[in-house]
Amino acid sequence: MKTTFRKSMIWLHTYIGLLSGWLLFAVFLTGTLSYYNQEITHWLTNGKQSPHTQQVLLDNALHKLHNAAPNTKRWQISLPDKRGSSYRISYREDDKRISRYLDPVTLAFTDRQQIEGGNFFRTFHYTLSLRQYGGRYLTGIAGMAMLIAVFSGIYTHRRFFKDFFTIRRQEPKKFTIDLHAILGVITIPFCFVLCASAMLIYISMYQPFAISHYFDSYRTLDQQVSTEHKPLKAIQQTADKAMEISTYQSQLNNAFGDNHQITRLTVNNPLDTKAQLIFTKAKHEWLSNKPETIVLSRQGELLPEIEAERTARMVRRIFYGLHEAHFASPALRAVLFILGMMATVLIATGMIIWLQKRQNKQVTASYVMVEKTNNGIFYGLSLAVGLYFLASKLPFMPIWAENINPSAPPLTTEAFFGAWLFALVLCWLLNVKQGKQCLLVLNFMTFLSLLLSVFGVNETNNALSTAGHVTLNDSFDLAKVTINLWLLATCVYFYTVLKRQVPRNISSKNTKSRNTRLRKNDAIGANKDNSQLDVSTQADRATEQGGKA
Amino acid sequence: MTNTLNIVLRLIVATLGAYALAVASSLAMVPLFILMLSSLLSDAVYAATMWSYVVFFIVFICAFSVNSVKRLYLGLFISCGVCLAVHFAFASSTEYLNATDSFTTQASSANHAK
Repeated sequence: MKTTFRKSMIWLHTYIGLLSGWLLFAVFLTGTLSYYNQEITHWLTNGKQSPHTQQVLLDNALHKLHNAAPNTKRWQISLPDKRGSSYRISYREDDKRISRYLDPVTLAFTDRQQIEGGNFFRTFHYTLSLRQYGGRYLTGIAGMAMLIAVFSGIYTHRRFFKDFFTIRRQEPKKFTIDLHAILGVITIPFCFVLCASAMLIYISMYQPFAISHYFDSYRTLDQQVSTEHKPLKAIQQTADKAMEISTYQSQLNNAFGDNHQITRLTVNNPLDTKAQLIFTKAKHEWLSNKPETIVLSRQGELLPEIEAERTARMVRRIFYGLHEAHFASPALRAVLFILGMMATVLIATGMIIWLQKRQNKQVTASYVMVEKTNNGIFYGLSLAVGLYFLASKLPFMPIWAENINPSAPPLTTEAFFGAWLFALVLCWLLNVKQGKQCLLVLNFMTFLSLLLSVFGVNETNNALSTAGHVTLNDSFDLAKVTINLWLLATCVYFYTVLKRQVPRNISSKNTKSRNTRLRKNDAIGANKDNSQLDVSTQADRATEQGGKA
Repeated sequence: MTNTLNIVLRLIVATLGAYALAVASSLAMVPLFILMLSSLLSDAVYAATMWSYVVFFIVFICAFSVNSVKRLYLGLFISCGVCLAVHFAFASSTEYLNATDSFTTQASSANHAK
């Protein structure tokens, strides 16, 4: 291709990055947000931490199931945890899966509308909301493109140490390049694991041929490599008394340790004397996506353990688990979140560098197009995320609940896509600088109002606390504090970018434009001036984007 | 050869060619894993599918780094041919099929016994 391997890799890095950059940016940003999947939902719905022990919650759920679904074959109970996951029971009725949510404080069924919350970002980051139309193939291609971009990037920036310790803050152009190199060096392992595991998750979609040659379908293969609990046969004999968790507590303590946390309980043949209880331990410090479980009979005897899986399946399980990161403690989760944001910024700076390299040549229509689309995609997506939050949050605010029909479904996804499209169109219609400033202001306003909405809700919380529901625990709710913190960081970031842009408009007229005039003819001088400013502020933006939540 | 034609030819190798070789290699790796690592058929298929990504990746990189397009195509066709030859050589041998049959029944009976 080119004369040397390295030059070929640089060429490859440039074009594969350019072609997949925007898609990768969207996937990485929403994927990073879904590290806080449950926290976001908890924050949006203004959920409460449960004051009850797990034993009470389990017993309550069993009691509810006993009344609601006595004739079904299987009950499932999901318990809430510190991350703010929901408390719900589910069972199958007439071949339809029914899930009902419980209030972790009052222990009664809640009719409050369940929103998609953070789960929207999780599904969007691999289906792009195009599940039926091959969205998962698109993200698979993007994942492979990222792997290739990371590999070829290693050759492009081969002087690791020199690149790592160089940062030239004074010159915006070089600063962007240095930032790109540093972020690249830091996030190589992260990006590699994330992209490789993403490819492995949909192995049966991306590489179905060997599987379909030897087996009927992926499902048949999966049954042969995966192990699961062998169900107990029901003997059609109804047990005389209802289950109580205290019967099993000592067994659970033996198996999982005294301070264990359970996320799920599955009961097979619930009313039969041969009922089977499968307790699933919370996945802390557990890499594989296969959960740790123990199985007990109704009488509390330990049933045979699940068989260990062989290497091939285990490898995929561990990659899967690494991708989902359910194992992460709050600190590790924050680190992963920051790494994800760094990778997002890495992609964004890459796109900006492509523009910078072509700045000194003639400014063509395609150059301006890429520049405008860059702004529209990057700031538009953050605006879309902000508005999605706002739209989901509104029905849970007291003002909304009092004045507007609460049963009307919130237009959350519409807000997301609408805002993104609006931002893109805005960027295309206005000139580069105006469009960017508009979006910055909108972003700042959105995230500021989100922060303000927190205070609004907190006041009503205090008012409610006289009713006795709110405990001390609730005032330091880890999940909510995390989200508030990232929101604050985002606000501060947008504020600083805006503030920096305003004085520079005046002072830079003298310094910056002189430089450009030297290089450019006057005809494109004005336009050029804008784009150069733009580059510098986009670099600023990159420094603090970690705060975008 | 013009630059555009050069790039288009390489792009074909990088996408379609790489995918074809990945599929062929995943088929070829199954009997190899069974014979060399004496793994079960299901495990062999599983592992071969996972390794085929690596093949795709390598071919993609090669497509843009090998100097002559002619050598690139030659290499691609030869390795595809070798992979398919391995696949058909073992697929037609009755010994191998019997072996896989017994492996599958073993695996499934082991699953049922538990």
